[in-house]
Amino acid sequence: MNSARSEPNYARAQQVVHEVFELPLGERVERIAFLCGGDSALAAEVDWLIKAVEDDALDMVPESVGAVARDIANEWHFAATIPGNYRLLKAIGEGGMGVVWLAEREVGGARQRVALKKLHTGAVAHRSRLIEEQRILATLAHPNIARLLDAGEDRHGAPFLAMEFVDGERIDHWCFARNLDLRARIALFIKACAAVSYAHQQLVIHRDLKPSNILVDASGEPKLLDFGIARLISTEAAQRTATRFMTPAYASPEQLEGRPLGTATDVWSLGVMLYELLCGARPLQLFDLDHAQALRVMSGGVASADESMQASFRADEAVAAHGLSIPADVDAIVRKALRREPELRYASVRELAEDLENFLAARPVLARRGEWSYRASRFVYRNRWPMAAGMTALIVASGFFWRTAVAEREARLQAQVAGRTTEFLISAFALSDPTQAGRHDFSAREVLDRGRARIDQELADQPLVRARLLEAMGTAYRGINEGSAGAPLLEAAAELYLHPGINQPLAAARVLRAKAAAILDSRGSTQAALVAAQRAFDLVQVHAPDDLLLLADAHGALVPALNADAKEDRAVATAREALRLRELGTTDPAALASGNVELCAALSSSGDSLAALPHCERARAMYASAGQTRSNAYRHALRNLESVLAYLGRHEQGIAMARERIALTAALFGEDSAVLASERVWLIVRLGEHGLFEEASDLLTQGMPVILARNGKNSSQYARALFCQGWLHYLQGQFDLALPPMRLAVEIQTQQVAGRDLGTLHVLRTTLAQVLIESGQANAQARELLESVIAERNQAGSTSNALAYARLPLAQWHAAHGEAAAARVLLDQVSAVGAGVEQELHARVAATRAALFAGEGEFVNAEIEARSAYEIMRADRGDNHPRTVLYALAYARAARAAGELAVARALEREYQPELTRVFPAESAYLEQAAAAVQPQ
Amino acid sequence: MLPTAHEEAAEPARDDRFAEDLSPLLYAELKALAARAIRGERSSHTLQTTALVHEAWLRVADQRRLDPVNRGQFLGLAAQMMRRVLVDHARRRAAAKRPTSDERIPIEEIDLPGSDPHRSGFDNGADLIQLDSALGRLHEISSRQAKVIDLKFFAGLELEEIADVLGVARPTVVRDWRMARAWLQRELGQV
Repeated sequence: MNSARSEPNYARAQQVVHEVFELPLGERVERIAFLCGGDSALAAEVDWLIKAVEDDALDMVPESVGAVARDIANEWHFAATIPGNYRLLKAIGEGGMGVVWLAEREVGGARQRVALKKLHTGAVAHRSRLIEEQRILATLAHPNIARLLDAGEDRHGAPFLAMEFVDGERIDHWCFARNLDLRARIALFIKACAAVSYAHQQLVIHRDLKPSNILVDASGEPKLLDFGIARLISTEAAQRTATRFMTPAYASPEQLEGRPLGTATDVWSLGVMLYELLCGARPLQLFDLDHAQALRVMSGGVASADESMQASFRADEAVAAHGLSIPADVDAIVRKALRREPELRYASVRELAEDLENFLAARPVLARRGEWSYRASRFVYRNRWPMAAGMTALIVASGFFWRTAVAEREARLQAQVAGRTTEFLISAFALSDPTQAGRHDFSAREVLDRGRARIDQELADQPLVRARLLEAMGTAYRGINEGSAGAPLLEAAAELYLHPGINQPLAAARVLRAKAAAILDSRGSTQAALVAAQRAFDLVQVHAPDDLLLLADAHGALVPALNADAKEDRAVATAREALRLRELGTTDPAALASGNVELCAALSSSGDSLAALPHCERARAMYASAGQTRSNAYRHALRNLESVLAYLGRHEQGIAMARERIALTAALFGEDSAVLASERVWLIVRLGEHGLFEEASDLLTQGMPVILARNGKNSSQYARALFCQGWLHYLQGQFDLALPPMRLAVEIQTQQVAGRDLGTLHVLRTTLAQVLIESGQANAQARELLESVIAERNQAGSTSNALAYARLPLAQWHAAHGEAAAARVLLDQVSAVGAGVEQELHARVAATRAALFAGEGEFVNAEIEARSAYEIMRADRGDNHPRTVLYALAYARAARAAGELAVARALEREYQPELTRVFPAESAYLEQAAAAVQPQ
Repeated sequence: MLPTAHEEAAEPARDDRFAEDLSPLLYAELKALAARAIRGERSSHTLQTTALVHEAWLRVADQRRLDPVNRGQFLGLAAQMMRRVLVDHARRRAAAKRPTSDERIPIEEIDLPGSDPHRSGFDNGADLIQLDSALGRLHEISSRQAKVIDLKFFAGLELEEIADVLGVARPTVVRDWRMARAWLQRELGQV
């Protein structure tokens, strides 16, 4: 090598090269000559380096770097991570391939006892198995699995594994030596299951589960050992070797037959072990079978072997001998674990363990249910919070699929689907990377739109992936308040799930429920929502008729759809059924709470706020005690509670709920979210009712621009905001300002729903008519609005409570036109609805009656009714409420007309200052009051 | 004017503290990442230095709440660490290597998923040890060129990025890189 000679030259030469390359081409030669100053060695070095600089073929990284990197990846574990000195103490086990030693290992001066697994000398063929075991153990870190401490080669180059030494007893010996009772045995077994289940999550199948591989240490913790024949689910390992090395008594039928193995094989072995732990004997027919016999049995060579094997699982006889009584539930659990067909066993070890936990907790066990695959859909459904924007559902779903891998192939297929789905979404989001797309930022909406445009063309041949993506994106649209964009995607997902090639009707039901909700969220066609919810309902009834919770969900989804379609009575009945099913099917507080919210909403919509209240309060308490107060479900509960409280006249509580809800919405959805804006706008109505005009006005100022920006002018959201704006003016007696936005609201809403949405449009029309009438414009339009609402409500089978809100202003209309008889008929109908509605409705009835009497010159009766109206309001809302003030002054006018001047003056003294304080100067209410007092 | 000496003298002292502070953590991180690769958690069995370094950055930055402004320093450090991880490994392997006898199967011949079937022997490791000591010598001659090589070889950076990290013009980095490569080639006779 010539480095010693060249280094000084190189150091100087590279400086020269840097310098001359900064010069124009023509000046370089001269400069080099100058800098080298006749030093020919330096000149040669410079020349050589200039060639190097001009040669771009040198830009590759040398292979040796990459090769060593790969070495690390492949062989990291062959080097003992900590150089330890081992001393062999005694052999503690011997198997076909090697010996397990109890050994001492020195680590930093401390001594540690380990189990050292070494191959027999010359057992070269098993070397790869030991390496495989090491690879597998390296992926496992679980308190109930003996840890891998070290691995390497001994002085002679033979590989070894050093494992945590478990000083314990076999699980079966442990149980019998301590004469544990049934519950203690099951609890111990569940811990062992947790270890196996964990291994499955890491895609490792143990394949040799038996009591001697589960030791219980001094603290009573079971430890799973010996992954000697375990396999990674993902490797194409030869199944034959599994047959050769396993222990036949615990081997599953598919293992004996040499068929491909999935996690179900471990479920089987655990089933045999559970039987043995509880009964003290293995299932008899398998007990004495040697390998060859077992193979014949499993391949059908021995007649009725399967039947006799199943028969032997009757635990009763064995039980008697050991004094443990085996409940039918446990018997069912063992049988379900020992189904010959892997797909009929528990879908996962986790499920087996959960069912044992169900038994311990005296809950119904899965094994005894006809239909158990519902869990898959349940799981996803429980996590259906829309604002998680489908992404949660995806992440949850992919995690879920790993956990319950029924078998190798299915696990892979589902992993593929999940992986493909995630990949696709990531690629959609990658486009939102500003550096890549050359744009500053993308909204969620844009990302979704891009994804949607690509789904069909890129995933045409992968219908399941497409279905899941459409579902996720449909849900995501709903999450960003764009339910109308989400609904068609959800419909497409439903079609795919129902396609014979996929055939997942319960998944279809799930997306149809989501579709119904998306339509309702975006104030779309109530009929379309109802149709979707009904289809979901029918699918569940056909395909999971025994699944209480799915049925409950199906009922639950119908409730808001029925309500929106003004079928309140059916909605209440359906909600009651949903809650009943949930109470039968689960103890999960969140599920029960949501059932109560549904029923509360249904009752409240039907006008029965008194009956609704306890359900909402119960739901709120359930969420609070379950610690779920930062969730959308809780927000939903607050919203219902708030509305019920308002109807019951408990306005301050209602407003407190609304403020809590808005704070939660801001935290969950963000300050400039459309959801928050529309909630703010809605609260205007409640605040205005309570005379908090300024706060209401502020909310309108905050909310309106966001709604215009997010939803645009042609949206139901804008229509609602306009309505709220108008209503706020109306409440202040500013009729001129109230009417234009309310008219526009009716117009937009009518266009938006094209005559199909009944509920909201009815409210808008009714209130517009009411404002027209009260502002002295009891014209034909007002009458027409009200009569059409009443006719449509009657046609929809609406309850009288809901009708009352339209009948009352119509009565006022007739009163204004001097048609007292017609007015009284309507007023009687309204009075008949009883206590379940807002008290103000009754006050308005009384006030209208007072006006009728006054028109007929019956001033004493008029005064009685006016006082009644005032007292109802005062009791309901208190002395300071703005409308109490209005009714008080109306009462004062009636009293004055009836000659009760003292009463009138007393009222005016008390309430006139309130009137001027609360209402703006230009309020029509001030004029009315002034006009009434002046002439006297 | 020749920029090399000037620029290196101007490096703030803060960077050294940063390097000292971070390097055991980073070293452990890189090791863990390399170890993880073998367990099949990554889809590819080929260890990609770039991916590893970037991932290590994400994790370390997360743990230490580092200001992303330090990314350049981090990458320089990561490259050094990566080199150390690889060279340590190669050294250990070279030390463990002894004459083969008939009853022993060299570990390289065990068929492991992901190992390169065309690779034979262990010469690459020896190359790497030589490369490492040559880089040590290069550092003495021009520490910037040694850094360029580190960043290119062991952090997988593009020359553009290296220019950013070192705060010099791209043409300068290209020249450094090509000259250093030529020098290494001459030193090792084979790279």
